[in-house]
Amino acid sequence: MAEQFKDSASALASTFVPSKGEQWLSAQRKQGSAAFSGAAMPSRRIEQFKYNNFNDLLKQNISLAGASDQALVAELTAEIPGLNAHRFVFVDGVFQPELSSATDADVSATAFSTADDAQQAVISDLLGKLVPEGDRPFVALADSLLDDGVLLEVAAGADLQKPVQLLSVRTTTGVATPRLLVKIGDGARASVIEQYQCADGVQAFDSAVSELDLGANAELHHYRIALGNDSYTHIGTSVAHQGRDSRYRAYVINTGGAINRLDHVVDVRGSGSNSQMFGAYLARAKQQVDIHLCVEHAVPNCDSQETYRGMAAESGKAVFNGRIQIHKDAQKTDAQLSCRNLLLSNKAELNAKPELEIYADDVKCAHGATVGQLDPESIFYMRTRGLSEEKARALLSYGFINEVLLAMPLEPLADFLRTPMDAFFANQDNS
Amino acid sequence: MSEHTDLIEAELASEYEAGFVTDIESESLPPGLDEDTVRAISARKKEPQWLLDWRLEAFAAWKTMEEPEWAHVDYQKVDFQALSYYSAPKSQADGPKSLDEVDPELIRTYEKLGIPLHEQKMLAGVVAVDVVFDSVSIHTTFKDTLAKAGVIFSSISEAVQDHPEIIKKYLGSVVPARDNFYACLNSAVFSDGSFVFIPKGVTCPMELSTYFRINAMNTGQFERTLIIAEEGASVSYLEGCTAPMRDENQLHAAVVELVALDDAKIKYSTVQNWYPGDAEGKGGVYNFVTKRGICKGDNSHISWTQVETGSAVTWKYPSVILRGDNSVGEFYSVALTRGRQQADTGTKMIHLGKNTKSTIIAKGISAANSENVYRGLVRIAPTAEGARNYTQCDSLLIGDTCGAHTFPYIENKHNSSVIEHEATTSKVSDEQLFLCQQRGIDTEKAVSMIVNGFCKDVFKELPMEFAVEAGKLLEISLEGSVG
Repeated sequence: MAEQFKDSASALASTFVPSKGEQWLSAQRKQGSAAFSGAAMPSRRIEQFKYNNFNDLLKQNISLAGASDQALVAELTAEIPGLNAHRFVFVDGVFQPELSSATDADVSATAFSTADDAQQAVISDLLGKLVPEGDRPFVALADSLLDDGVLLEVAAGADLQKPVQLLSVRTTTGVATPRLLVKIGDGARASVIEQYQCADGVQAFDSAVSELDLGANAELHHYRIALGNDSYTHIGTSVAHQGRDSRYRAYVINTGGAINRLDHVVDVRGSGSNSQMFGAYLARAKQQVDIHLCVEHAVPNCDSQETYRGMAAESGKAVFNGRIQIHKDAQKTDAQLSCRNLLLSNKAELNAKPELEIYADDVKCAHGATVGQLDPESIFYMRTRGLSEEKARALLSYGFINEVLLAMPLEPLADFLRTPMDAFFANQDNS
Repeated sequence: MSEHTDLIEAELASEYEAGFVTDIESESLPPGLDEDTVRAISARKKEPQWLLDWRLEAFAAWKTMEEPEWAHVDYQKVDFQALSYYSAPKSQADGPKSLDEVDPELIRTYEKLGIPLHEQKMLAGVVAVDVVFDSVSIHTTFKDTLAKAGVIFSSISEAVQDHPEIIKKYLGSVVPARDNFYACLNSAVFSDGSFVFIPKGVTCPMELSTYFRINAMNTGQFERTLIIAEEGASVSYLEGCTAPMRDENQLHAAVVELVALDDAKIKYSTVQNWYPGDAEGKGGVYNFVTKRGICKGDNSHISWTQVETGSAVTWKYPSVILRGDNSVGEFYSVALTRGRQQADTGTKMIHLGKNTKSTIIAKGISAANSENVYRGLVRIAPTAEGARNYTQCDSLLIGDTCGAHTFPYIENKHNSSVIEHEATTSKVSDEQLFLCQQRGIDTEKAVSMIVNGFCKDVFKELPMEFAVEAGKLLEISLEGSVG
C-alpha cells in the first residue's frame, strides 16, 4: 500500500518542473529524491509514526496541486481584523508576490525564483541545513518537490513593530510543499505568524518545511498555526535554531485535519538562550492531530519551558510526543515540560509521550503529563447557575485551551483563533 | 561539588563482592544451539512429550525472530552458538535427596553469599529458599512446612514431574512463547527455576525466596519462574542473583510469569546484583528478562519491587495485565548504574478491567559512565472504565559523564480514566547538602541521607531482609539504608 504513495511521489519528483522554472535548486531536489526513495514510509512499526494512521494517505496516488480556485483564494486570504501585518502569501504551495506586501525597510522577502546571486548564496546556506539528521520522509518529499519558497530576512538590530504573516492556503487537491526560510538578524525582534489553512472539502496534502534562524540576542515570537478540516492532510516540520542569548517563543496551534502533524525542533545552539513553547492540539470527528516536539539543549546555561494542552473528542485522535534532550555540555540547563490532556469521548484516543534524554548532571529537568476528563463538580456548578450541560462542557473545554491563547501577545490573532476553537467545542457528540 | 562527587565515586568504585568463582566440577552441554540442544535439555530433565513439543515450537519461532534494537543500550551482540545452554554441578547429576548430599563446596558458595541453606540457621525460619546454581535447582528449604499449608514450592523441573496439569495449564499463559526474542529463546531452552502454587484461600506462612547464581563460564542462564495464587491466596516472593567476575559477557534471559486469581495477592521483590563488568565495561551479565503478571481475577493485586544494581546491560520491564475488575498493579523500582552499566528498565501497566488502578514509582541513579533509562507504558483499553494510574519517575545524576533518560508512553482510550505522570531529573542538590552541613552533618553522611530519601518510597516496599540487602548493595550506604 505504501508503495503506491512512494512510487507515485518518486515518479512525480523525477518529472517535476518548478512553477517558475528556476533550476539552481535542482541539486537540493535530487538529494531529496534520493533521501525519499531510501526512506521507510510511515507505519506503526516506526517509532515516530507509532500512533499515526497514515493508511488513507498512503493508498493515494499523489499528484501535484492543480490550478488554484481564485474565489477560495480571496476568501482564505482575507485579512485578520486588527492584526495589521506584513503579509506573504503562498497559494497551493507557490509563493505569490502579488498578494504580498512589506512596507518596512527592515524586513525583506525574496522568492527563490527571483533571488539574485547574493540571495541565492544566503538561501543555499540555510536551506535544509537546520533540519537535524534522521529519517524524515516528509522533509525528503518536500525537498524532492521543492518549488518557489520564500526567504524572509529581518535586519540586524531591527525592532519590527508589525508582525509578519506567512500565510499558506490550499484551494485544490494534490500535494504542495510550501517552504520558508526565516533569518532574524543579531539583536532583532520580530513576530512571525506561520499559518496554514485549507478550504473545506478540498483533499489537499501539505508537506511544509520552515527553518528559522535566530541570530545572537535575537527575539522571535513564532506563531505556528495549522487549522485543519476533515479533508486536509498537513504534515509540517518547523526548525528553530537559536543563537547566543536569543529568546524564542513559539505558539503552536493544531486543530483538526485528516492528519495534522507538526514536527517541531528547537535547536538551542547558543548559550544563555531561553525558549518557551506553548501549544494546543485538538481533534474531533475522525481527525488526527499530532505534535512531535524536540528540544535540543546543546549548550550550557539555557532554560526552556514547554506548556501543552491537548484534547480528543468524538472519534478523534491526539498525539503528543515531547522530547527534551540535554547534551553532554549543556550544564545548568533548566527545562520544564507540562502536558495536560482531556479525553472527552470513549471513542477518542489520546497518546502522550514526554521524554527526557539527559547526558549532563548539573541540570534541572522535569516533565509532567496528565490525561483526564472534565471535572464533574465544575460541570455541576455551572448547571446550578443555569447553563446547559453542553454549554458548561464547551466553556470548561475552552478554559482549558485558553491558557495557550492567553499567552499570545498578539491579541487580534488570539481573537481570530477563538472562532475555530468555538466551532470545535460546539455540538460535540461524545456519546 | 567535585569533592562530593569524588566521595560518592569512591564509594561507587568499591569491589563487586560476589565476584568469586566456585571451583566445582560441572557437567555442561557443549556450546551451540540447534534442535538437538533443545532435545538434550528436555531429555536430561526427563520431560513429557508435550513440553518438548512446546520447546521445539518456540525454538522454530525463535529462529525467525530478530534481536530487538529499540532499547537505549549498546552492546556486543550475543553469539548464540558460542554459549552453553546447560550446566549443572557434576556431583548433583542424580539430584540431592537431602542437604547432606549437596557438595560442601556449593554450600560454602552460598554461605559466602550470605544465604545459609541450613534451615535451622534461617532468620527465625521465616524465609524458604530455592537455590538455582547455573542451570539447576540445588535445594529448596522448608518444603515440609510449606506442604502442610498446601503451598507447593519447588523447582520447575520437579513441578513438571509432580504437577504436570498445573504447569500445562499456566506455562506460557502470561508470557507466550513468541512474546519476544529473549522470551522465545527462554521458552526453547529454559533449564530450571522456581514454581510456586498457593491454593485457594491460603496465605503463604513464610516469605519465599529464590537465589540464582551463574558460575560456569560461557553459560547462559535461562530460568523460568511461575507463580500462581488461587482465589484469595497471597504470597510474598523474593529473588536475588549474583555471578562471578568474568571477562566474557554472560547471558541471563529469564521469564517470570505471575497469575493472580480473584482476590489473590502476589508481591514479587527482586534484588538483582549480577556482575556488572569492570569500570571499562569488560565482562558482566546481559540481563534480558521478561517478567509479567496477570491480575486475572477481580480484586487481585500484583506488586513488583525491584532493586537493580548489577548487570552490564539490563533490559527488563516487569508488567501487569490488569484484567480483573478492581485489580491493582504496582511497580516500585530503584535502578543504580555505574561504571559502564546500561539499564533500560521500567514497566507496563495494561488496564483492561473496570476500576483498575496502577502505581509506578521508579527511581534511577546514574553514576560514572553509565546509562539509565526508565521506559514505561500505561495503556487504558476501551473496556477499562474508571481506570487510574499514577506514575512518578525521578532520576539522580552523579557525575557529568552519565546519562539518565525517561521514555514514558501513555495510551488512553477511555474517557473516564485519570492518568498522571511526573518525572524529574537532577543532581544531589548543593542547597540540600549545604543545609545538612550547616547542621553539622558531614558531606558523606549528607549525601547518604539525600540518596536514602530519594529511594525511600521504594525501599519501604521491600521485605525487611531484602531492604537491608538492598541497602548494602547500593554501597553508598553508611547506615544500611541506601544510601
